[in-house]
Amino acid sequence: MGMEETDLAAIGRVIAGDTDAFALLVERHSRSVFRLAYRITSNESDAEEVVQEAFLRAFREIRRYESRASFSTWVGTIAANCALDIIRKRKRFVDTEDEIVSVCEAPGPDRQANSRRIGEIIATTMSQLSVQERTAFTLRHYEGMPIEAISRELGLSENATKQSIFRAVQKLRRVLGPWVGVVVVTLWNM
Amino acid sequence: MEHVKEEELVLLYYGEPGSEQARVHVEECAECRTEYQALQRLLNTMDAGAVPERDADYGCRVWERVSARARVRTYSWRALGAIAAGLILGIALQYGGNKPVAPVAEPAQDDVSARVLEAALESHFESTRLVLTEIVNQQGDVQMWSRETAEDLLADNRLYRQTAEATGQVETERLLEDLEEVLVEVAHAPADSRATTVDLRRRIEAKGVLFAIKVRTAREGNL
Repeated sequence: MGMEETDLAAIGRVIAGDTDAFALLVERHSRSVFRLAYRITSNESDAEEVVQEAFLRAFREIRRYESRASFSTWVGTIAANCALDIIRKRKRFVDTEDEIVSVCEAPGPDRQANSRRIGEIIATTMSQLSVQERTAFTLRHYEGMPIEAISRELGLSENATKQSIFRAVQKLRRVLGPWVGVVVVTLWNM
Repeated sequence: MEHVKEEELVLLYYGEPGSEQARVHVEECAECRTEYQALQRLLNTMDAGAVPERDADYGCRVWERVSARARVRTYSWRALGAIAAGLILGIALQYGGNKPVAPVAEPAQDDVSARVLEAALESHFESTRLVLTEIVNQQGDVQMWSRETAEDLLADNRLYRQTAEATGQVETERLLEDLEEVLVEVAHAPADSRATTVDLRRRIEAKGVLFAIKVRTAREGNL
């Protein structure tokens, strides 16, 4: 014993009828799926729902899993789509081409306070991106999914996906620009 | 010399196909290199974005809810089987006395039907308990998971209640009646309302359904 069971082996057991083997996959990946869901929905309670819905769909569709992609990528893609569904249902976000609200304050001398504040500013700025920009950027940046795969999963053209990511980066750059140097110094000294 | 566009630098940062030319240019051009390094710093800092952490037991809790919901779907079929079994039992009880049925055969058939019904009920009560416990412990809005699961359970609950009524199981019927009232409210609870969660919690506690399920499950376990 001692050897951790691989995701693939656990999936095999689930398909063979041992449904409890799915618990291992949930325990292994639920926190990262939560982070992904939170980044897209910008809401803790919605992110929790997305996690449950994503794993439930994955459980029901387990036979359709293809080992070309890792299980985490597969369930992450399902979660991204669930997050978009929930956003549509809630109509909490309205996509506009408006400028996002920039941060007026400047970084102060307190490194720890700056570090905390940067985390908050990033979260706020992310929540102000359009749904498409936020989803495409999250999948590319945090999940490491290639643009071609993101386009396929979100049903967008590659060009539309690229433009969403570019716009997200531009907006983030505008808001976070003044803080970037501070972040580097802060992280370096932590 | 033509400089690299910001878009190309983004593609280069992520190692997307087709960014090789941009990489060569950045290596040669100091201006573009500075620009690229600024972009790298920005994107590297994105990992500092605040995301609420989940504790170590989070996965267990997620699995508990997912498996309960998956079980609800599975047991909907079982519910139909139980209804059929219950009806057989009901018919046997109603007409059994008028027919010259062999004394050994009748209890055997009743036993099987009752056992099927009981097994289905046991799962039903467990799934219901999970959903209602979730609401009692919920801090925010009523979650979509709870509403959808309650809706699924409601359909089964009605069938079980009718079966209990047909087979003269008065206590079970009463409990199922109480559960039905609560499940209707959960299934139709509006989203985005903390007030609803508080109200539901009060109703669940006032009806005492969680306690009633516990008592019934414990009693069945001791039989």
